[in-house]
Amino acid sequence: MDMVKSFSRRSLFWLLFFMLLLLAIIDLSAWLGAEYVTTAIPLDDIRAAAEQSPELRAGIDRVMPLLQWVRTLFLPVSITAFILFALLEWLVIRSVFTRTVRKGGMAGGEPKGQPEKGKPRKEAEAGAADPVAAKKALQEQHRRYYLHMLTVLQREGRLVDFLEEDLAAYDDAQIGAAVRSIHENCRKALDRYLSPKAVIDRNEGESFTVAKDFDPAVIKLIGNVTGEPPFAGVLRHRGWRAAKLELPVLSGSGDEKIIAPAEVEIP
Amino acid sequence: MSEPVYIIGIDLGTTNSIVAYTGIAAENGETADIRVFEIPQVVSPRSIEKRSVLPSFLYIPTAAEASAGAFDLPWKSGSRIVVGEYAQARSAEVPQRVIASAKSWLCNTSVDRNKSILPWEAPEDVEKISPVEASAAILTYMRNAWNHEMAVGNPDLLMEHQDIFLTVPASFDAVARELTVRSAALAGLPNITLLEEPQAAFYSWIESSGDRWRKNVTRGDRILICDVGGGTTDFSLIQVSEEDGQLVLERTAVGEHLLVGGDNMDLALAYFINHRMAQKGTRLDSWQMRGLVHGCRNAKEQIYSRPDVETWPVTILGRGSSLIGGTIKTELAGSDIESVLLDGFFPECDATAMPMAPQRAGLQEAGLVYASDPAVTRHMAAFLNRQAGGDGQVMEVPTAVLFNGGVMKAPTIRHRIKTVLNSWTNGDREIREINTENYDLAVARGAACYGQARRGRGIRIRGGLNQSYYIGVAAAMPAVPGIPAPVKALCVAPFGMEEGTESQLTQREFVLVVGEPVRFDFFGSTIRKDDPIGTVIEDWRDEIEEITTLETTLDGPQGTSVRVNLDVRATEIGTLEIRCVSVEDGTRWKLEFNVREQA
Repeated sequence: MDMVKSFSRRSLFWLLFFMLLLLAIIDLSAWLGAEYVTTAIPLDDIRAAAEQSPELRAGIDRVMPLLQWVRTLFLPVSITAFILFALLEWLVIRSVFTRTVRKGGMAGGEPKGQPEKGKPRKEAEAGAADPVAAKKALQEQHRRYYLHMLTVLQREGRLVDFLEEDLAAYDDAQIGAAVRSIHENCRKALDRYLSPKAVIDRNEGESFTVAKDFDPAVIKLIGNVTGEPPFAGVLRHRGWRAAKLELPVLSGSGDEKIIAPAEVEIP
Repeated sequence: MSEPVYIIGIDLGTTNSIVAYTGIAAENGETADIRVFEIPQVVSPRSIEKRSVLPSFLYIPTAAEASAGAFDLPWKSGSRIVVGEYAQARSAEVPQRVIASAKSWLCNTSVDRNKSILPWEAPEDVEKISPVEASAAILTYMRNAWNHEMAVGNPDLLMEHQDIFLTVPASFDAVARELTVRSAALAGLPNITLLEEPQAAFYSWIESSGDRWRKNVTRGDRILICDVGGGTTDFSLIQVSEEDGQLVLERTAVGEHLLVGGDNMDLALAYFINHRMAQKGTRLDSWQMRGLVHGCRNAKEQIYSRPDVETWPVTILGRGSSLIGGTIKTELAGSDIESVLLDGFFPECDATAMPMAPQRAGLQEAGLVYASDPAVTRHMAAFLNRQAGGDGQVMEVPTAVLFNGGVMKAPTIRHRIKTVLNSWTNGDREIREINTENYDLAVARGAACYGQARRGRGIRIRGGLNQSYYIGVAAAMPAVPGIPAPVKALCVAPFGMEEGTESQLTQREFVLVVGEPVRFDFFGSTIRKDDPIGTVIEDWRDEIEEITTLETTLDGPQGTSVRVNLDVRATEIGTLEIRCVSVEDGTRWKLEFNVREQA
């Protein structure tokens, strides 16, 4: 919508400019012409000649008021006419532009027909208006994404409750009983969001050749590391890679440091 | 109005809803594959994720909860109702503010289905909606999610412009179907077609078998479709015959709508374990009970997937932050599952078994009408016996069975049902199981598949009306004071009346008074399948059930009376329309189903 608005403003300005320029040129030439006529043409001689001929005098009598009328009204009428034409042209060009934009489906045209504008637009406008607030919102988003996986594991498997427990107070059997349930639920959640899979799908203890241009972020070398790859070695840890990374859409605002809300039961 | 680009199948389930879609097939016969639409939904406040399933739950948050955009969706901010996974999670924690099983309320005749009654028995300050509006809210959510994900910048891809097939239980009567169509219209989806869920499951199997399906059924096969979902159980019979050398499928019978399903079974297991623990002195509060249900469900799935494992631990973690200290440990054994699930819900029974009707308490709490006898096999026996006709007729045991629904993922349950069915054949033969794979998504996929069939690609199951429908006519008898005139049942729509056909009841003329409300009693029968239109039955109470009333008010000059015939139409989309047509000038008035409370 603002594309159409800015186009409207600019086009109006330029149209008026050129129309007034044209108007100025025409009026100036008309005025110069009129001056030339009054100075170059000997009117007194014509009037004197007109004394002789009653037809000529009648003719001049008819023409003179007309000429006077034109002289007084020419300027205002021409200005009004040109401005009106300029506005008409502007309206026509603007509607053509709007229709083309709408058909092309560009972002600046009609919104998707929903009365409530979506979040990204609000954020963009807010961002444009206030860069400090936008940066703060972005930081808040980052923090929420950082905590998100832990939030999920706490919600689905109560992992944080477990990690924050004091294990010294319990024996192995008690801990084991609780851990089975936590393990199962956390594993399901991890599988749904990240689906961890082995980086190298082989058995640990098997021999493995590290290729020439290996990515050090993918394979970590330990032991007798000298010379140039390829290296012949033994696989000690298969590694973990996320087979999928479906990021959630985090909306709204609020305390971004919350891992799990407190629970209060109303009897 | 643009041409549809997709065929969309919507399974509006009691517990879970699924949307499947496929492209409208190209001319040269290649069928596009069927995909499940991942629906973005609120999973926890301020967090939206895509899931292949949309739980059919509606949560009404308090104003404080919904502040700061906690439940804002990408296409709408500030919604008053939350739909989906978070609503399902909250239904255990705050049950008064959650609407669950909206679909089961659509066929509940003991309430006014257009009145704002849900959430059921919620406190005063919770804003209520009607069952029709609740179903419409779920469909609206699906539509908005689709339009946001699939139709960006291209109005041709909007959901309202596609071919939509909405599944309903086969046992839904004409009134419940009409209400389903109405809720779809409320959701901005005016062009939908209804499809029965067991048929959809069958279509899904046909599609997944490809052309080999014809090798798995033969002429004369009677296929029982046994669909046990989260909240409901549905039976259908499909007959396979042959015409001009081609196999022809026809849906010949449907069962009653039974409110018993997988959720009942999980609860039963939990109560069983709870009882055992109470005997040892451990009492559980409601929070721990919920944890127990969840744990039992997990343990059951683990035992099913590991045939060599006898027991599985069930742990209820301690409340609050004292996780380990408050842990209660117990275990679920395979024998527990057998005694509770198999013997409780799928007991072995005779071919003549009938569902037990327990003693009714004097006062009954209003609400959903759950099945009084949870034994699915007994209901199955009653269903098959009803098809046999009068007494003395032997039940025709089906030759093959197709299973559908989340409950049927368990092989032990499938095996038990087959054992029971085999026991009814007196050892003549073995019942065949038609192997299908996807018990959860089959219905939605099948609906998308049916859409292809409607466009001429693939076989269509002949169906038509799922019941015979009747209206009540007063018997012509001298009036006896104090005794209401006996009512006879007049058949207006025979069983199996094909979709898109219309017929007039010219044997009977009615004289109706203009300006006064007109009321006809409306009945239905799943047993009487051979009555042609116009049959009058005097003693109908055994085989025909009351459904509701049909009402209208004729407009015209007051006090005059009009002679009308009844005109019955089975629409293309799967609903029933009955009109009064004036004999003189052909003016038509539509009779509306009364969905208020039936006494």
